[in-house]
Amino acid sequence: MRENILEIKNLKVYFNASQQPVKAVDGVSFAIEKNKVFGLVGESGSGKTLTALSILKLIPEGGSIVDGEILFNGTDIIKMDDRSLRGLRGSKIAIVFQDPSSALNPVFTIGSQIVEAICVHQNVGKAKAKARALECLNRVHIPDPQKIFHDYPHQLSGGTKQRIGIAMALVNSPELLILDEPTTALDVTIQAQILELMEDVIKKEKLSILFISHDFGVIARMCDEVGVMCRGRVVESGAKDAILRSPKESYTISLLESVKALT
Amino acid sequence: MRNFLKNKMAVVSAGFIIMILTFALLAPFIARQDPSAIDTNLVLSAPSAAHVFGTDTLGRDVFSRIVYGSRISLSISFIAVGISVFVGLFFGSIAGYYGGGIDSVIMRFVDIMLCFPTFFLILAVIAVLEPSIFNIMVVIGLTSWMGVARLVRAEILTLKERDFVAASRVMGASDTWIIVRHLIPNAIGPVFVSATLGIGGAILTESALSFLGIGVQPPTPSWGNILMDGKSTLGVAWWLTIFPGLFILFTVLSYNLLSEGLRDMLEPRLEDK
Amino acid sequence: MLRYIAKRSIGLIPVFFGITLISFFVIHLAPGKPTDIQTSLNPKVSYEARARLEKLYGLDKPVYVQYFSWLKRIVIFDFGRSYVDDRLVSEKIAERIPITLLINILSMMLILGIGIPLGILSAVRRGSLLDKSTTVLTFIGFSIPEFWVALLLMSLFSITLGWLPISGIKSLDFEYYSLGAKILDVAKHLILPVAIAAFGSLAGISRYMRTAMVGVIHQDYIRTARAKGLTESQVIYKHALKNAILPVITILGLSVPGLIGGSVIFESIFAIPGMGRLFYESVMARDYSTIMGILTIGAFLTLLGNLLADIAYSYADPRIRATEGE
Repeated sequence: MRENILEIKNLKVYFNASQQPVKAVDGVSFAIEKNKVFGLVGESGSGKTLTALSILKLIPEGGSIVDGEILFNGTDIIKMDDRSLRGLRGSKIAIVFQDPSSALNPVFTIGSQIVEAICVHQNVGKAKAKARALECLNRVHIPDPQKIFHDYPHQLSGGTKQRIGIAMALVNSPELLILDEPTTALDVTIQAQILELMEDVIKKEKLSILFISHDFGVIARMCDEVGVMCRGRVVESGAKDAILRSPKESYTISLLESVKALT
Repeated sequence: MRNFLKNKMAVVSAGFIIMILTFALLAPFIARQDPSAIDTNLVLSAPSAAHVFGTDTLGRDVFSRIVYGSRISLSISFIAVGISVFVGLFFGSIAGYYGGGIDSVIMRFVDIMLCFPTFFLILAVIAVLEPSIFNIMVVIGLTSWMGVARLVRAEILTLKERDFVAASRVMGASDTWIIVRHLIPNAIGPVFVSATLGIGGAILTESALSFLGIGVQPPTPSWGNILMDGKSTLGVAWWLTIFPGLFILFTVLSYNLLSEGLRDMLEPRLEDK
Repeated sequence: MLRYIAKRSIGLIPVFFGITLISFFVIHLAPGKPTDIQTSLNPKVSYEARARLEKLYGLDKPVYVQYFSWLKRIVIFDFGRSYVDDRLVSEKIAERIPITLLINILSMMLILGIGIPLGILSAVRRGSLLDKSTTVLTFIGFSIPEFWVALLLMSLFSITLGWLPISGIKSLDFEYYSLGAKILDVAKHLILPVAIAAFGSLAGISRYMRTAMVGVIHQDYIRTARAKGLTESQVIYKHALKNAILPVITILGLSVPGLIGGSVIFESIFAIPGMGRLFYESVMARDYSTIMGILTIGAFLTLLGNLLADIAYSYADPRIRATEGE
């Protein structure tokens, strides 16, 4: 019996709702099975990042959720009060953002930012928090975590910062990890390293993953199930192999064709 | 232009400014009384039908003095700002265009000038040179060019790398020609914004100087020196304090809003309002 | 960190020279000689007496020699003697500076205490009534003559309502007050001057703070902070503020000359015995040596203010602290 950790039903996120609404997400539905990797693929502007942000209600200014349900372990996140929502953010559901250079606060040390993520949700002393932070930094294969702990973001490379982003997301042992185009902003060689790291994490940790990308190749490599998005809707979804071998929708087909054309 | 008209505040401000300019230009027709006419019978009388804004300590009509005062305040600010723009354009374009050592020296000079509390400097110079309308104009102008210089320099630094400059050089244009005919006209936008703000500032500075007795000297009327009377009659003749102050406030406010409108016209901001 | 301070301080030396040059230049704009006031007003002064005076002030030497001897005296704070009462200029300034500094520091605290929170709130609640009315007040604040506001407040609080004293820094029977009453008395006298001193800069700072905050709030790292589960106040007051405050520190440094210069106005209106008022009196009396002294001191204070702001900024921004300290 399939157990879904996350179910999105008919999600609609509009911008500028009062005048001429931009229907960025217009009726999206899919489900992520527990401990599986779900890939959301689509071109820029298809609404995939926005869908991911909606899960934690991190929608940018001007936008709002106008309809739908987001069920996390059965509870509707949309109807949650602020306190419960904050309880979820960074602990049960964690997110890694696309651009590591801008995702970290430039005026705080790496260590303090990770420790902060821990202390928001866990009632532990500074020493224990630091230990946990170092443990997670090791987990993402960062060389010399003790030094990095006291560094500032501007002193580090993109790849290192993205690893830190992943470490920060893992500190509270999330049940659902959202990865929003985690490799898009990185150099190709670094991309490969991060993907390897992700595969390692998936193997060793027990969590469900929502992986967002515009790169079908990456999706094919990392995911168990796939959802294809186009213009705010999920046009097709299902098991990865099924989609790759026998895509039903014309959009999916053309998407796959373009990938094949490149490889 | 449409951007400008859409901004209601800017339009209202422009209207107010036109009104004040009219006051200044057509003063003799608007102010029916002689601003220097002393009438000892009517010393410090409250506003009435004959004297709309009341009279001052010498019985002079305050309304006429304010209208004629607009001439003084406006002309001083216009010329002072003109001077500061000219000097600022000069230093800023040279610094931006030639760069290197010249740039460093000029910018150091700007830094040094900015270290002086402007008001102190102006007061000191006027103390030394004696207050006259001419001196006031020049001193205000020579102490407020620094902002314009920095602006112009920044604009020129970006502009000088552009193709049309290289093209001019290839055609044999001299440096001066390039600066004056090509670079400055393109950099002039922000200068306008700064100049409008500067007019407001100059009006405030001139009125402060006149208020302290070291600006426009009586009997020549200036909004500032009418307020000097206002101070000595505080609590007794409210009209001597309220009216000139309101004129200063609304005129400067109009220029400030105008400059905001100009800025919006030049580079429409993304959000913010 | 110390190296940075040392480096910046050394860089200020050319500026120091520039300031002295300009001050010197200003005084020599005077037609005639500074001693003319003392001598030409008195027809009985003989030619020899005039020559002696000039020699005393070094006015018979070429200009550059005068400049260097003046410079030598300035660095030990010897500004000569006042033309008005022959007292040492440095003494006169020294007894007036404390009160001016006190008022300026208090007004700075007011500016920070009100301007910064106001700017933050305006940014956080963009478009709200608070934001709109603050914007309006800010514009008016930029456009209103400070001395006029002083007059209006004086008229309202001192004359009409009688709540606050009109002028000075202490009442007539100050000597007889208890310590507590003395403090209260000075405080009452300072309320209006400090308020006026703060007024002009308040508008600027709150607007600047707002702009800086609005810029920061849209950054990605703010979204990350929310994604970690932080409360909105932690996001705003810890993450956003620490970034947005940086440009404001620079602006604070730049507003020091304005504060010092503005002291002339409110000290004159409220009859506060500070440096600004001394400057005004000296200007009226054409007391050139005092004018020069205060002009130079004023510029130095500005220099100091800028240096402090610089140091504060480099300390607050780790991007600078880390690279400069290496």
